Amino acid sequence: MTALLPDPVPLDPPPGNPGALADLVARLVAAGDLLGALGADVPGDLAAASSWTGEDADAAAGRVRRVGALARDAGEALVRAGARVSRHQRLLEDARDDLSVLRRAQEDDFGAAALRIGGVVDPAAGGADPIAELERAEAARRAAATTIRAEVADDAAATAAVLAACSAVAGGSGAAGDRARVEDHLQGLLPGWHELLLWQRGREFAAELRSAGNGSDLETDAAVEQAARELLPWAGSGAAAAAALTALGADGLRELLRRLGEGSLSAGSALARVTSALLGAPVPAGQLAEVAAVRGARHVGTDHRDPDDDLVALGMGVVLAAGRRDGRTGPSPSTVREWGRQIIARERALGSGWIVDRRGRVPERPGDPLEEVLDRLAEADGREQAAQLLDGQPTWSHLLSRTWDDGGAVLAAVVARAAEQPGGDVVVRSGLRALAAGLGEDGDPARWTVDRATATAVAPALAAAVAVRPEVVVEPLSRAAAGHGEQEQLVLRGLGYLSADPGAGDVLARAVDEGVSGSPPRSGDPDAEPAAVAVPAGYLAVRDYGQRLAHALDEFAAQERADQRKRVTDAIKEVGGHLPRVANVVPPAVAVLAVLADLDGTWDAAPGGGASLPGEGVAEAVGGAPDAATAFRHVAGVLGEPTAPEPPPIDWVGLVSDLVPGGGRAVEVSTRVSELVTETIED
Amino acid sequence: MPAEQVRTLGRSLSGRAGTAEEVRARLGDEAGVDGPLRTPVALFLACHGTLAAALAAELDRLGTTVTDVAGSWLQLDAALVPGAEHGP
Repeated sequence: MTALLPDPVPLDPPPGNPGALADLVARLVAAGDLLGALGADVPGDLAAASSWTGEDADAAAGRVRRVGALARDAGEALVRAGARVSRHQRLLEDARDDLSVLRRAQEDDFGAAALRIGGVVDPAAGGADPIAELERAEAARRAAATTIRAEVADDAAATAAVLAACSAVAGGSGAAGDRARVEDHLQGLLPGWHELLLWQRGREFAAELRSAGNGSDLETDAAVEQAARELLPWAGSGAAAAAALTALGADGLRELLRRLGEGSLSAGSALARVTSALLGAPVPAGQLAEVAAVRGARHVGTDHRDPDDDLVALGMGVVLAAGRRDGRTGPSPSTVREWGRQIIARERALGSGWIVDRRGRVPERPGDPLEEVLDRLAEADGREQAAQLLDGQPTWSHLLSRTWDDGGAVLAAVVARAAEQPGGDVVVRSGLRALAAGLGEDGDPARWTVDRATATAVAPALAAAVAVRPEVVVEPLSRAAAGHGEQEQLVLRGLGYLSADPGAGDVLARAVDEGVSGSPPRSGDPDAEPAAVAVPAGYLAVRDYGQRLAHALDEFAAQERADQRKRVTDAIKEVGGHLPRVANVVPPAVAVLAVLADLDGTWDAAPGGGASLPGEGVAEAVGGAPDAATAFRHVAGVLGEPTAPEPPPIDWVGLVSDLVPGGGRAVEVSTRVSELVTETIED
Repeated sequence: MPAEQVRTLGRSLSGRAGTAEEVRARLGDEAGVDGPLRTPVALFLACHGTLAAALAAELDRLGTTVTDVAGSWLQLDAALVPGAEHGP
C-alpha cells in the first residue's frame, strides 16, 4: 500500500558548514584585531625617534605611517568581513533548524498516511483522502524549503560581495586574478616588500635556468621560456635584475646567451626580452659591483675550437635585437662595447669568415651580432663607447674588412657617432691608418684587407669626422711637407684613399682649407713652409696619390679577375685536350675564344691611368707660392707611387701554337733561334 | 642624528613584523568552508594573506633600513670623532 504514497519532498540542509564558518569568523576577528592594534602601534613607534629630522626621517616616517594606515584599514576590513560571515553563519544555522523541523513533520505525515491507507486506522474516521492531505502538506513544505534555500543563497551572495569589497583594501576584487591585482596595488604602497618580492622572482628565474643546464630540447626550452614569461613584467626592475644576475653569475649568463644563440628562441621570445631587460636594469647601489662583474665578464673567447663561443656571440646579437624591438631596453652602451670587443677579437682570431656565417645563414637563425653591437652604439647615448670601440687601428681594420648586411650603413653611423665624442682624434687617425694598412709601396693590395664597398659606405662619415677636427690631417700634412713625415705615411695614405672617394673628396678639401686658416704659424723650424702654402701643396700630393691609388686598385682587381678567367680557360683546354675525338678541336677553339673574350689573362685597362699633377704645376695650383713644389715633393715622397699593373700583350705565338698542327714544335724552334741570335748579338 | 633613538625605532619596526606574520598565519586558508562561499572565502583569504605577508616584509625591511641608517651614522661619527660612540 505504501507504493501509493508520493515521494517525499527533498528537505536536505542547504550547502555550507556552519562550524567551518564559525572557525573562520574567529580567525578573521582575531586577525583583524591584531592588525588593528598593529595599525595603532606602528605609527606610535615614531615617537621613539621624535628628534630625528631631515629628509630621511620624513621619508621613513611617511612609510611607517603608510604601513600603519594600511594595517588599520586591513584590520577593519577583516573584522567587517568576519561580522558578515558570522551573520551568514547564523542564517545558515537557522535555515538548517527550519528544514529539520520540516523534515520531522514530513516523517510524521508520511507515517500517519501509511497507517490510514493500510487500514490500521479506520479511513471513515478521518473523513478526507489521506493521499490528498499528504500532497497538500508536501506542497507547503516544498514552498517553505525553497524559500529557505533562496534566502540562504541570497545571503551567501551578499556575503561574497562583502568579502570582495573588503578585499579592496589590498587591491583585490574578489575575482580570479586577484593575486596580480593585489601585487600591483601594494607595490607602490609597500616598496620594501615589493623589492623583496622582485628579488625572490629573480632568484626563481635563475634557479629555473640553472636547473635547465645546457639542455636544448623542446621541453627544456618551453620550461625556460615559461620562467622568462613569468619574470618579464618585472625584469626591468633593479631588484629582480640584481637577484637573477648575481644568482646566475658570469657562467650562468654565458650559458643563457649560448642558449639564445642556438636560435630556437628568437629575439621576440620572452627569454630574449627578459635577458635584455635584466642586462639593462639599473640595479641597487649595494649590488652594483657584483652585477657589473657579471655583465662585463668575458663571455666570448677566441679559441676557434670552441663552437659555444660562436653561439654566445650570436646570443648577444639576439639580446640586442630584443632590446631594439622593445624600444631600446637592454644592455648599457658599456656592456655593448665590451661585447663588441669580444666579438671582434674572436673574429680576428678566427682569421676568416664572420661568426654569423659559421653556422650557415638561414632566416630562423640569429643575425650578425656585430651589426647589432654597432647599431646599439650608434644611438645617441653610445657616443663615448662608440669612440672607445673605434680607438684602435686593429678594430678599424677588422670592421673595414667585413661585408655588412646593410652595406655598411650602421658602421658609418657608429663612426659618425664616435666622431661626436670630444677627443675623437684617435678614432679618426685610426680610421685613416686602417684604410691604408697593408697596401704595398706601389699600391699592391695583396695584403690590403679593406673591403672597398664598406670603405665607400664609411667614407662620408669619416670625411665629416675629419672636417670637425681638421688638425688630424693638417698637422701630419704640415710635418710631411717640411720633410719630416715618415711617421705619417699611413695617415696620409688613408687620407689619399679617402680623398678619391666621390662622397668624401669635397668635404676633405674644405676641411684642409679651414684647417690651414685656423692653424697657428709654426716657429723654430727653419725648414718649415708657411702652412698656408705647404699644407695645400701637400694635400695636392695626397689627392694625386689617392687618384693613382684608386686607379691602381681598380687595375689590380681587373688583373685578379683576368687571372681567374685564365685559370678556368686553361683548365678547359687541358681537359679538352684529353677528350677522345675532340682532343684536336677543343684547345684551338678555346684558345681563339679566350683571345676574343679576354679569357687569356688580359684585360682592358681603364683609360687615364689615374690623373697625376706634375710637380711643376703645383706652385700655380696653390697660388704661385715658390716653395709649394718642394712641399708637394716631400709629401709625395712619403706617400710613394701606386703603380697600376698593365695588361699583358696577347700571346699570339701561343695562339699559333694552339691552332697550327705541330705548332708547338715550330714555336720551340723559333724560340731557340731567337735565343741564339740574341746570344750572338750580345757576344 | 639621535642614532640610538633611530636604532630603537628600527628594532621596534622589525619586531612589529612578527605581528603581521602572525596575522598571515591566523588567516590560513579556506579549509572546511564549502558551498557557495568556498571560492569567495579562498580569494579573500589569499588577498589578505598576501597583504599581511607584505606588511611583515615591509616592516622588516623598514626596520632593517632604519637600523642600518643609525649604524652607519654611528660608524661615521666614530670615525670623525674618535671615542664617540653615540650621536647627539
